[in-house]
Amino acid sequence: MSANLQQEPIKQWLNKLARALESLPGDDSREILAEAKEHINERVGKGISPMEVLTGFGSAEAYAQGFVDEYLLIRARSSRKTVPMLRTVIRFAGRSVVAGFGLICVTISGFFALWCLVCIAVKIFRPDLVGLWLDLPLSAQHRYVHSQRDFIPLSFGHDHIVFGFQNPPPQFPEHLGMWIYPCLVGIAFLSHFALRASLLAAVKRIQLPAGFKPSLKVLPRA
Amino acid sequence: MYKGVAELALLCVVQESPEYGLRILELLRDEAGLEIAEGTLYPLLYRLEKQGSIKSEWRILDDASHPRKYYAVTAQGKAELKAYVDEWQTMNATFNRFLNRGKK
Repeated sequence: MSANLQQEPIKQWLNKLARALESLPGDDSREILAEAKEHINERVGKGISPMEVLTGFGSAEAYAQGFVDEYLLIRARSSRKTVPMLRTVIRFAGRSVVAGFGLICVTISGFFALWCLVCIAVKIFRPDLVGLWLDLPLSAQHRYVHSQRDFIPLSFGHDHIVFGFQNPPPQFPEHLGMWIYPCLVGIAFLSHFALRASLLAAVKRIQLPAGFKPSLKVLPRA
Repeated sequence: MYKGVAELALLCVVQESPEYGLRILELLRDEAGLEIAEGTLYPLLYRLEKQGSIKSEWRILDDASHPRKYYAVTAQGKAELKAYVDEWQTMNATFNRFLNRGKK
């Protein structure tokens, strides 16, 4: 096999690796590429076939993924910013139970925060559609009789309490008035806090696969 | 079971003197009896470098015609290595006692 034919698969592999590393900082990707090239050339120089050397690295995309995963995790942990942490949790959600669970918590918290903001916006333009409606005083006996008459003063069933946006508004009295604003802001703040806490906890606990495990083979000792 | 073994083996290899990737691979294979692939080794070196356990430097030595990236352990890495070794030896001793129970 001529030298050119030998070099072609290496060139192709390095080109693919360069593309797969584009999300890394320039210095990191250049170093990774240079180191891989140096390693490949040295082994080929020792008479090992390019295909055998490239087999050790695996596909360029899979090889790059190891670096990109590491970089994203390190960046998310050190920056503690919402967007990088969210990107990292989304990226790992399919491969990590912790990230998957974190993403569920983030989605729920984010939904509540968004719902509060939407309610605030609607309240500004249509004050009659957002509020807290109670069809019975809080001290009243429970309306419904179950197995026996009970005295539960409050139930979160649809008939008793409506909080937030409702169109058309219920016929029974609205109780909060303008106080709905601080309530919604408070819930939005708590939801945001829960979202950040979920992200921080998930990013801190995501574990990449143990480095040696996929390819560990204990050699017989001489 | 292998969690932490990777870091332990790598830090152990570069603690005495700086080594480059291919040489680390050979040492792990020949002296530790661990067959690991390039695709596993380099991302792991990247992780250890980013977390401050090792540092790297491109050098051209007399026996090489081109620069190689050499890795050396940092002070933080030395402390981590000591902790890993202690943990490993404790676990090893405990497990050996377990395997040898009832043999005496």
